[in-house]
Formats: sequence, structure tokens, C-alpha cells
Amino acid sequence: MNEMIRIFSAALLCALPASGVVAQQAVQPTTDRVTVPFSDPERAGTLRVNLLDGTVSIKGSNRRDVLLVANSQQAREALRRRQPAEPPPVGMRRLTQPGGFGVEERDNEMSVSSGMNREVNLEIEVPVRTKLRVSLVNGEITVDSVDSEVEINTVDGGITLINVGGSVVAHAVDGNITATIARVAPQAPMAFTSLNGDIDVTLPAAVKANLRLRSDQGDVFTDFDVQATASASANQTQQRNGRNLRIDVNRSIYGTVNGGGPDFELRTFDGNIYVRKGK
Amino acid sequence: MEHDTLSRLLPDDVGSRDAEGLDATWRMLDAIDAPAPDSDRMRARLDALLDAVEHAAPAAPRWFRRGGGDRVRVDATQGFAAAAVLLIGIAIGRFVVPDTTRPADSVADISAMRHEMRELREMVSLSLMQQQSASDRLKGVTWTGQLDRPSAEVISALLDALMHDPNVNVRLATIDALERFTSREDVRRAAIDAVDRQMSPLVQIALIDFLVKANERQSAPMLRRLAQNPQVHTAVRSRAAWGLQQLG
Repeated sequence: MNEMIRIFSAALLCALPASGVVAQQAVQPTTDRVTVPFSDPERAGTLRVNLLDGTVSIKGSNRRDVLLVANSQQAREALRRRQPAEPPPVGMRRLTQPGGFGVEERDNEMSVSSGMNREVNLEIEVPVRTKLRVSLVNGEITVDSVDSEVEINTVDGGITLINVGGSVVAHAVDGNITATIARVAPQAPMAFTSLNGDIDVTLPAAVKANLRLRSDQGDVFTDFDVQATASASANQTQQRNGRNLRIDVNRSIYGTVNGGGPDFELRTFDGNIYVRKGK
Repeated sequence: MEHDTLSRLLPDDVGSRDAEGLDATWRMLDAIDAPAPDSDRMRARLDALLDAVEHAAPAAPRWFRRGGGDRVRVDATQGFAAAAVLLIGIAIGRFVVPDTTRPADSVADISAMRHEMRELREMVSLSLMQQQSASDRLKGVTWTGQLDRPSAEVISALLDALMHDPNVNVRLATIDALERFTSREDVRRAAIDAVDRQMSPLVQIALIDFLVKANERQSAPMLRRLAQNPQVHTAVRSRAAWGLQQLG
């Protein structure tokens, strides 16, 4: 009985996000693979992923639609348990999806979300130029081979970017950020920030950028030839009430690489920063 | 031109009727008498022109009239042309370089242009800050740093981003951009208000640094509260305690 209640509540929670896509898409509810097209595949679409728990792995490929695979053991088990137990009543169809996530597409924007208390492990394949806005509370995010705008936020979990082009804005509260940027979009600023994680970013050797590097309690390392423009790491002295006061606030290192360009901010409170020269 | 020559020159896809039409036109053109060049009249006109040039520059110095005869005419013409080029040069110079006798107009023009430029830059920054993409919003925030005298609208847009932008990195960049305006009371007050509302410890720490740098004593009660609140992130609490110490 307990088990039944649990499944029912999970199904109910999933019904809302799932209903959107069912209205537009003939989703097969018996598999944990879903393919969803963008309404205008000629334009670069946007993929939003908002999950609480789980892992998200996004890979760019030369396809025109988006393939979502929920590959969690938990989801498969839930699927297996549910399938024989709850056949749809006559004349009705199932709106919930076994993977525990819902997909909605509108005006070239696709949103993926999960129900509460659900761990979802998603593998997603997208067209290379798809813009990504990924937000995950607890879990790892990996993005591989996309060339667009990438925005990622995690609270508890790391961010790994491999062979990514375009621009990246990433924040992990408690997690490392590791990024290999293959191509940078001209004049696009980037930011990689964390509270407790290391930030390890590999940039193209010829990248033109203004770097703003700051680690409050860690160190900053680079093999780039960084021309320091202003280092406020020296203590500021202020005259106050006739006595000298030392204010050591700004530990940022500002510098240009290859003549300078858009601002790239790398900041962590309690971690190290590595800026590596790529090939 | 002979008929067969014309049809040979025509492209293959021209029909025979078209060819005949063209041929007829050609013949009609042929029938018109070309006016014979009237050499006497042309000569008279040229002489008159040269005379006029000679009379227009009667003050040409004697040493200038070397060679005499026709040669004098050529030299005078060249001199005249040179003078004309000089005059045009001066005219262009006057037109391009601001006239010192009428400084008000030109300075007003330039300042109007600067004003328009500034408005344009502001507009671009403000509109970038409204974009969906965090990278664009970051760009908008950074661009405000290049405005020499940003309007109140820019500052309120920055304060709005500090409070409401969904992206942590944009909010962090906003704090950096607002550092130029620490002399404004509304900015310092907004920074104090923002610390409590922030969910991100990194942004809270950046705001504490901002307030300490601005030497904002008004922030002391807030910092004290933060330092004593066990629900606040430890890094933020210790930063708040440090800030209190700095502000003395």
C-alpha cells in the first residue's frame, strides 16, 4: 500500500510538467527516450533544464531535434514496477513520463524539468548551436561540444565543460568548475565563479581578453602571458579621523591577454584558479 | 553597316522580326546627317576663352611671362589654376576646421554630437541589460563602465540588476560596476538592503567588501546581525565580522 501511494504521488507530481509536451508531441510513455523537435530548427533554439537532484550530460551533435534519455537506474525500476501495475484505464492515456521529467517546447525554447523529490539522470543530445540554460541544485553537469551561449548554475555539484565554443557564464556554489573553451565568441564576456570550488579554465592560446582573477583564500595560476593592468592586491590606505587605516579589500588581479578584449571573470572564495593556455 | 553584318552580331535567340526592327532603326540612324565639325567656329571660341583668361590675370608679373606669345597664355592658365586650387583648399580648410570667429556654434555641435553618442551608448547598455542571455546582460553591465557621466537611469538599472537579476555572475559584475558610485547615498543604501536579500554567499561577500570600501558606517547593524546569524553561510559570517572590524 505504501509503495502504491509513493508511485501515485510521483506520477501526480510529474503530470503537470509532462502534460505540456504530450499536447504537442506524440511521446511514447513506455520508453525513457524522448525526441522533441524545435518549432523552427533553422534558428538556434534554447534548452532550459531545471532539476533538483541528478546529473545532466549535454552533448552537441549534428542533429536538428533534441534527444532526451533518462538513464537512471531508479527511473528504470520505477518504470518496470509501474508498467504492469497500472495499465491506462479504457479510453484514457498516460500523461506522466517514466523518466520522471517533463519537456515543453514553445517558440524554439525547450524546458526540461522534474518533479519534486526525484533524482533524474539525463543524457541530452542537442544541435551544436543550441543555447543552454541549465540549473541544478544537487548534482553534476557536463556539457560537451556545443558552440553557443552556455549558462550553468549548480549549488552542490561540479560543472565540466569539454570542447565548448561561444560564451560561458557558470556558477557553482560548492563545486569545481572545469572548462575547456575551444572557440570564443567575439566581444562576449564570460564568467566562472564559485564559493568553495576550484576554477580550472583552458582558453585558446590566441584568446584576446581582459582577465579579472580573484581568489580570496586560494591562489591564482596561469601559463598565459598576462599583462597586469591594475592589481589591487596591494593594500589600500585610507586616511580616516587623522589616523592611517589599512583596508585590504580588493584582491582582484586585472590583466590583459593578447592585447585585451572582453572581460573574463574567474572568481572563487575558497579555491584555486587555474587559467591554462590551450592549443 | 550592312544588313548581314548586323544580323551576324546579334545573338542567336533574337527572332527574325526583332532583327528586322533593329535593322530599320539602324538605317534610319544612317540617314541622319552627322553635323560636320565647324573648325572655324571652334577656333574662334577657343581664342575667346584664352583672351578672357589673359584679361582676367593682367597683373601676372613680367618674369612670369617668359618665352612670350602662346607660352605666356599657358603659364597664365597654370597660375590661375593653381590659385583656384589654393582657394578651394582654403575653403575646404575653413569648412572642416572649426571657424574660430564663430566658436559657439561648432562647440555646440560637437557637444550635441557627444551628447547623442552618450545617449546611444547608454541606450545600448540599458537594452543589453534587459536581454535573456546572461552573457549579453554581463556585456551591458560592463559597458556602463565606459559611460563617462551615466544618467540616473543607468544607475537605477544597475541597482535593479543587483536586486533582481537571476544570474549570480551578473549580480557580481553589477557590484563591480556600482563601485564608481559609492559616493551616492542611494547606491550605498541599496547595497545594504541587498545583502539581506541575497541568496548567494559569493554576492553577499562582494557586497560586504563594497560597503567596507565605501566606508559605509550605516551598514554596521546589518553586518552585526549577519555575523551573529547561525543560518548564514560561515564564510559570509566571518566576512561580516571582518567588515565590522574594518569599519571600527
